Amino acid sequence: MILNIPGMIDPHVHLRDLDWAHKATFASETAAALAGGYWAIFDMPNTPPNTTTRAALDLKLARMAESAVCDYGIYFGADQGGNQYEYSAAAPDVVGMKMYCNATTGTLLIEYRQERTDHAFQWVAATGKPVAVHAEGRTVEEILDIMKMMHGRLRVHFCHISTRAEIAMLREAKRAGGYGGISIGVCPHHLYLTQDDVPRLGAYGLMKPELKTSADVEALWDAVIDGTVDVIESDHAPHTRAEKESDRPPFGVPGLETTLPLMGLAVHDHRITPERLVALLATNAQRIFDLTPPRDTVTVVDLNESYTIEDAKLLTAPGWSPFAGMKVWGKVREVRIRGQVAYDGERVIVPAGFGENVAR
Amino acid sequence: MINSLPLTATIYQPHAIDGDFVGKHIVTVEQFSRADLTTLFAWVSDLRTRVHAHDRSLLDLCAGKVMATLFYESSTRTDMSFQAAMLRLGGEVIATSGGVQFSSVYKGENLADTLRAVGCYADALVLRHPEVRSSYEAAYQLDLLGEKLGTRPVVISGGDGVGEHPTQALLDLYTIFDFKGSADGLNITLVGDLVNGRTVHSLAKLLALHGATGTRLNFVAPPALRMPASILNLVQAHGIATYETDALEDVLGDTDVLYWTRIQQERFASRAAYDAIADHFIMTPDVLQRAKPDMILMHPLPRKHEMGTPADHALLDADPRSVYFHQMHNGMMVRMAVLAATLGARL
Repeated sequence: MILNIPGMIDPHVHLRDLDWAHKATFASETAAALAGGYWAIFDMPNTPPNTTTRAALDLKLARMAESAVCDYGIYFGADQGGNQYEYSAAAPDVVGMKMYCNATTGTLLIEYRQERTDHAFQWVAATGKPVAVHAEGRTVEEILDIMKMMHGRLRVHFCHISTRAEIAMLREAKRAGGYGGISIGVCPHHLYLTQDDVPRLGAYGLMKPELKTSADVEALWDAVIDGTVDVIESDHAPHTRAEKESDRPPFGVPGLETTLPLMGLAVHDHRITPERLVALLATNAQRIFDLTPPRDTVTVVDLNESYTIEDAKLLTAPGWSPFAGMKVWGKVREVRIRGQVAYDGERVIVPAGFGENVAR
Repeated sequence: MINSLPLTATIYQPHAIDGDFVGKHIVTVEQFSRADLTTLFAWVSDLRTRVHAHDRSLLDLCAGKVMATLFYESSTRTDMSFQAAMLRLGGEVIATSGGVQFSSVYKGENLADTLRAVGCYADALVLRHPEVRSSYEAAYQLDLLGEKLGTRPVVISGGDGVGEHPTQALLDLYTIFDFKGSADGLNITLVGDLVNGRTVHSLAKLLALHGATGTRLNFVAPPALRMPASILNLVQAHGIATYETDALEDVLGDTDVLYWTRIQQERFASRAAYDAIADHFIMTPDVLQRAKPDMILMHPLPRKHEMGTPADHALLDADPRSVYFHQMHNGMMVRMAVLAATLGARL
């Protein structure tokens, strides 16, 4: 079956560049996004210099404007040093705010409930845009408490949910209502890999949140199928092979070019319908972030075409994937943005700087 | 997003025919290349000869196959010509007793479930539905159903709202080929409500995709009912010259194919506004007098006042240049070819 997917969005990527340009650049990773079928990708704020000040945001916007080949959104970051006064000036140019509530790559971490509440209040005072939250385990419950306290005025996108307990909590909260906007993102690596794969993958199987048990994987699939999960997001986080093979390998794996065909595999296996795939990769994120794709912005994908993921064929700068060797379904034939063919199934054919900020 | 149809109707892309009709849904003229049309039209001509000769081997072509009709809007020609086509190919035809309004649609069943029910029984489903792209939804649902059941039911659009009516466009183009040999080098004039008319949209599109060379398309419509820019652009992009006017006289004398359609009074703000233009869009024997002796007059039918009085109808019908009954007859032949080809008959 050939689908024309309107405006695919990955709302959770780490494109690097800036001080981490040795890992990857906006140019290389937005090209990878097009190859993966995406119209737009939303960059997280924890690449140094952290996107937590207007000056840092301007730097990222300028670099992005000259190099992106697909459209993009940017998250502003909550800083434990206190940057709430920056929110109203930043809000018009970003898709949302990111609050790290558990430790991960980078230096951002809002540890205390008091602080989390204050950041949330200040953000809502500045804008109605959502807050993307990195919350694991009990922290999910705490965020839900804060949402309840804010009487539904806070919209939270729960990033990379990975356990049975977390998904159960969120499913119940969605059912009960009264929290405001709850949306849930799940990553393909948490759907297709378990902790049992780590010995095989080594450092290439390390990311935050880490891989879980097969029971967790099963619970996540149930939630993908029943509609509890809103978005499949890659948490694309490239690191060089040298870094991954060092004594202290960093966390994170690339995923922009593998998410669509991995969900195509789920369609092929009759786990989800093509319609659900489109909701998970495009229309739900459009709804959550209040975005309408520009006219004639479409990904043409042939779900009947299968291929094997190969490191050498990836456009992402480090050139590796934890899914290498897997047979997947769904070949991207074309990505059109604003009526222009940006990717023709083989090559990116728009110039650097073609991409636009979706927030403007 | 379009109407109240689900997302699937907008995301589904039908397969191009690309030389192989078997198992393909027929939902838009965009599926046909020039080569596909040449193949199809050769089959149509062959089938017509065999029908006229009462060739009983036609009955083997779809023997044992079942076609279901699902019509959410009234239709005489499309419905009956599809039924006749299937019967002449030796297939069987089913429909809900008493029409769709007495089916489970009446109980509030959604379109997807009704489509899948029919897909469980029939090899081919002919769908007419008032919503644009409803046939895409049908194609999507039947693909998934077929995968589940290990079958390959096809949907053939019988018209979706103001969207497309692909077999009508095919029969129109076939009729032009039939009388003129090809669509190349012709002056083809489309007259009437060009903004709302789905037959003229589909025909213009098909002519463009077919790649007619040296052809000019004249669009004759009141200013408020002009051909949409999207179709004008498509036609021009395929190298077909276009000319727009609200006066038939500008182009009548050069016209090889005159395709007449009705202008509906309800498209106008007032009776006065309608009356002001209506007279210019009525085909009468007098008008036909001024046309070329070897031109043809086409009409998708049904017709009302746009062909004048009943007396005018009689005079027009008697003119050998009026080919709208041939058009209808060809309609059945085209639908035979489409059914036989998509159901895998050996043609």
